[in-house]
Amino acid sequence: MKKILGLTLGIMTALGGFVDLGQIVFTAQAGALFGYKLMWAIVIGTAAIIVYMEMCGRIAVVAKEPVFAVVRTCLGFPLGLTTLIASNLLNLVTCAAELGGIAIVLHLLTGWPERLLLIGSTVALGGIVLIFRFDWIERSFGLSGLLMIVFAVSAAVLHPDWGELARGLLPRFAEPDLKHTLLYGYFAVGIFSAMLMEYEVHFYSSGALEEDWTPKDLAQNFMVASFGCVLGSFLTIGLLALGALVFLPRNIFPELLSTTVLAGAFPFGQKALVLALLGTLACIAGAAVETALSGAYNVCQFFNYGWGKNMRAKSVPVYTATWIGMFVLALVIAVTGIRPLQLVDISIVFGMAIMPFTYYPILRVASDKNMMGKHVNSKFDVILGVVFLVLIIAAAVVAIPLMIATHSGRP
Amino acid sequence: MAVLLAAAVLLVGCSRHKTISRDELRSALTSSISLASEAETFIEYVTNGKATRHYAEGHIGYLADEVGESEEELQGGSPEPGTEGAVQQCRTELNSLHRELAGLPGVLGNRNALGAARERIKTIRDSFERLISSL
Repeated sequence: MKKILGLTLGIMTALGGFVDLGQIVFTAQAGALFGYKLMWAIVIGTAAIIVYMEMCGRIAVVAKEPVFAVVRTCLGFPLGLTTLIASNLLNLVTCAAELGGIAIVLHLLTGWPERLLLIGSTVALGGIVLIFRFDWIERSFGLSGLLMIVFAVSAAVLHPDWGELARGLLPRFAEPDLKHTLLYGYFAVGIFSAMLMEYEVHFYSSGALEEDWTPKDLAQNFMVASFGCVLGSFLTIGLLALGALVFLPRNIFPELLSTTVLAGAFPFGQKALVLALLGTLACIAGAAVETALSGAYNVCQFFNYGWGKNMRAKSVPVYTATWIGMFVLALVIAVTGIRPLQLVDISIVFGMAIMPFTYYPILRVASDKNMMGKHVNSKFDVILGVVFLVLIIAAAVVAIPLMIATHSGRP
Repeated sequence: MAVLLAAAVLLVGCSRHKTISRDELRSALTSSISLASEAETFIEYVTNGKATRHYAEGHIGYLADEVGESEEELQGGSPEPGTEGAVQQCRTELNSLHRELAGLPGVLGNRNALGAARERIKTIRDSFERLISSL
């Protein structure tokens, strides 16, 4: 039972990363524009995040080094600090977007005023993080996020073309004109980026240390990372399929969270709609917690302050003040009325641009025999790590030009 | 990075242009077709009793805001020569769509009124489609 519950770290990490506000709408848009043609981006993204999540979990367990300590060691102080600032700005923007998304979902569930819900839900999330231990946070958000399965069930019930879906596993670059080719590239990079958002590895490696994993838990590390990511990937495929099944034939380009949620319950009735809303709420709230806590982990790990959700709040003051500060600042951004999806567009693309600075140090340390001993990367791990790092760098280079050329993916 | 982020906010947020080019008009019409089609699909969903009241009212509000923003984008710019008529027509149809959406919360329980609204929105969508093919 304990091992099964242990999977919730992977589930919460992956759902908060894969199925957050941005990915929910972004993937449905990709399906609405290109049908199943971008399936391959989901599969490659999943493989990449499994490889790197496993590596950073292994480093945390063996070297007792969380990601940002590794970043500081490998990149040096100046570049490490720049990466820290950039990563935390992205965490902040993403957290603000998720808080805005929570208010939207609660408004759709209750009809109450959105601004009141925004403030109330942020206070409630802060209270949950303050009161509960790490394992209860990951269990509650991880398990409640499983309600998102209703999206995958809806997609299956709507009878996708399985042959076409399988053909989507192979990249095809045969769009009719330059505009569509650029859009195709933008969505491919965006899906890949959203699956590798930095806060996933920050949160996962910190979680492994919060849970006091030891080298005996390394087999579990692989299982937790793989299970969570495959589940997240399965739901992402469901979202892509819903875009292809519900929106593409109707010429709808979904630009609202409420539109995508509707697709998640399309073949069913009101109960499924409520389930879809609750599942979305759990995943978005999980992402908000993940980004706020990641911000605090990053700062404390970089500057070597004490940290840990399982420690008394007063005994780790910088850590506690930072995650509270993340929530407060994110709330301030969200209250200004900037649309959450606008924030998400920014975080996905700029997350891609700084991604190499997070993933390169992980690969380097996991391949360092002095630090990792017998748990050092195998040749196979290194090859996979290098291949995915090259893809990450390539995507990082083209992310911003594609965003500009496509006006953030507008058809 | 902070500068890049600020630039991105401006880039993503700036929707008002001095001149509405033919490509931008095409993009606005594509978006308008999408919004009208979405409204039709949603009305069908509500008519089949699949939406809760809070969801229906909330989603209509978000859709109406989206249409309002599209209207504002078109109001804020002057059309490229040769597209004035199409831009004006697009503004008029968006305004009609906005009014249809604004009236929906009052008829959520009335299948006949919903059906009639859906027909009118379909007519609006047809107009958008004719406009885009004329460009």
